[in-house]
Amino acid sequence: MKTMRFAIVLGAVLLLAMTSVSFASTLDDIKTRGKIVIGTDATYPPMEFHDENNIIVGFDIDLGRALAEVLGVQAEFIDTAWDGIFPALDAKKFDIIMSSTSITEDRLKSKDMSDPYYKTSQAIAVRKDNDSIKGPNDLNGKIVAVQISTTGDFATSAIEGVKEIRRFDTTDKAYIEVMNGRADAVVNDFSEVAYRMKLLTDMKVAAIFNEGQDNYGVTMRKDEKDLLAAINEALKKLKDSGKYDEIHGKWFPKVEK
Amino acid sequence: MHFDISALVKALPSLFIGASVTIRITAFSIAIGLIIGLMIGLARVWPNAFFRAIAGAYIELIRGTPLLVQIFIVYFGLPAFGLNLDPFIAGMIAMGINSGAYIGEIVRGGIESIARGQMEAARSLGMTWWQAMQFVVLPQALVRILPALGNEFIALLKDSSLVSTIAIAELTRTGQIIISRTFKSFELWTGVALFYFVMTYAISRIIKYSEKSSVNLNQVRQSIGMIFQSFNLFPHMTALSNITLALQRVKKIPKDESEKVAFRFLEKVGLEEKAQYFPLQLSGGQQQRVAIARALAMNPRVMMFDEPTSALDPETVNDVLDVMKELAREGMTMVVVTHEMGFAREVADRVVYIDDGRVIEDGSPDDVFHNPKNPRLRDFLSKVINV
Repeated sequence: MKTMRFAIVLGAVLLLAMTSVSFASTLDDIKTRGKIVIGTDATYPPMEFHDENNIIVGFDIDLGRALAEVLGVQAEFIDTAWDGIFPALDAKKFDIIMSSTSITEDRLKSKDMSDPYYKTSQAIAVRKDNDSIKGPNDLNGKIVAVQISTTGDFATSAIEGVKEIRRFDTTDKAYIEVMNGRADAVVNDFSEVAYRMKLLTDMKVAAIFNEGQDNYGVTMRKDEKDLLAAINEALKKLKDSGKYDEIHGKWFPKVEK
Repeated sequence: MHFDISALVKALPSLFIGASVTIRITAFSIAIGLIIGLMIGLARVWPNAFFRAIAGAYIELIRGTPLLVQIFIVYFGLPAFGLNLDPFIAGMIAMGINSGAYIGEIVRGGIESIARGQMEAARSLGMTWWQAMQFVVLPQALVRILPALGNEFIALLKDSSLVSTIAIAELTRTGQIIISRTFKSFELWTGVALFYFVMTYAISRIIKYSEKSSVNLNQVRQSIGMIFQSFNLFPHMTALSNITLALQRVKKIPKDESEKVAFRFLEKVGLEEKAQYFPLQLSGGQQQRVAIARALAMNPRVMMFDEPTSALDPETVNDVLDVMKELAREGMTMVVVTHEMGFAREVADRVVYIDDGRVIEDGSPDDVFHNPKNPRLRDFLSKVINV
């Protein structure tokens, strides 16, 4: 049947057309394309989230655009689920990750990360009527809700005696778990928790720990030395020029600690 | 419980966009699935055992693994082989490969539902297996599987929510994103469910509509009694059960009452004492009279007889004709195809003589039998002794 043979050929051509195999370095690719592709999980205000018009905005987004400008290219953001964001980077779905990603020893084993560009702490959020938690050690025997594979998840895992850790794909589900009374506390980056508390008036920040130990960095695939150097240089330029402070002021008017 | 309807209303434009992505990815996937499914379905019935085995393995493999895992393999796994697809394309291909297995089984079922005689008849004309499949079997099978394909479309539309995990901003992911900002999970998930329901309900209405003609046909058949040349009683049921079956199952008449009705009609055809006999224990004439009782019990507006006495022992023919004469006297509308000229002349209000597929005489029994205009009919009547 002719149509079937046609369909097979068409399918093969489509597959080939959609395949992009690159041999040059990522930085060269970015320059040739005139565009840097940035992966982000836009469910994490105020760092990266969808605004009321469903457009991706936030601190990381503005910073990413500024970085691209220094590199002389456009920035394109690809919204990606957090639990698939590192595999997607490996799979070359984008060039770098800017998604409130803390620099950790484990992550550095398989990825390269830039110099820190934002410093934060871990925060414990509970319901307003809960006075039993004053610090991380009070989570002993409690149920804690976190976003999977975040520094909040790792920090909670390091606390002894936590009864159960419920790991969700997005942070909002962790807060809902606490508001519904099925978990006692959320542990997450203070940058995000502080912003959430503006909307979640039934909840409060009960404690802050690991102060200043969370340093966000731009993540890229390993052994992209030229890209790493270019990003670090661009970050430094932004800090020197005052552009960084401008963006920071826009997204953290008061809550910054 | 507080349902913040304004949160849902505000989200509607975004949900509409999400729903359109859901429809688009499902439609593309179904297109891929149809191409794969047609090939797999054909391979499943292919004369070559090698193709059958390959297709069988494909179906088992796909049906035996979760769609979510298949999506992850295509999106995260294939780049290891240099095949880097964007999320929409990856989701579409994974879903297409998945539905290809299910559609393959639907196609195979459709092909096997076409009578074997169709293939044999086509092959007897010298067609190759493929020609017979292409021109005779497949066209019939494809029409027959349309409702099943509609169901597959509904299933795939719902399963497409899984591609939200590779961040395609379809309906589910759109809901997730809005909740991650507003925390209105009850309102948004209800809204998302409603969107899915509206889409699947629309599809299922379309399927129902396309099936409607056959439903009406069943209702029409209830009011037409049909008597066959070879009786066609159900051999595994007594005479009584042959009559009560449709009364109970189609007309939903309770058992006791349906048996009363059955006995009334068995009495009418003179066989009430044979109620508990099975068809094979009855003579041909008796069987045909049970068949008439069976048709009458449904209270038809018209009865059709297809050569009701042709398969009968001459001795029992009159028993059947007597019953039919009585029905005629009672005013039952009957259309009878018969070679019994004497019977036709005596009972009919109108006689139509058909020869070689054409009506060649049409009139009252008197005109047709005593004053035939057509020479062919005149010749025929002169040869029939009992007129």
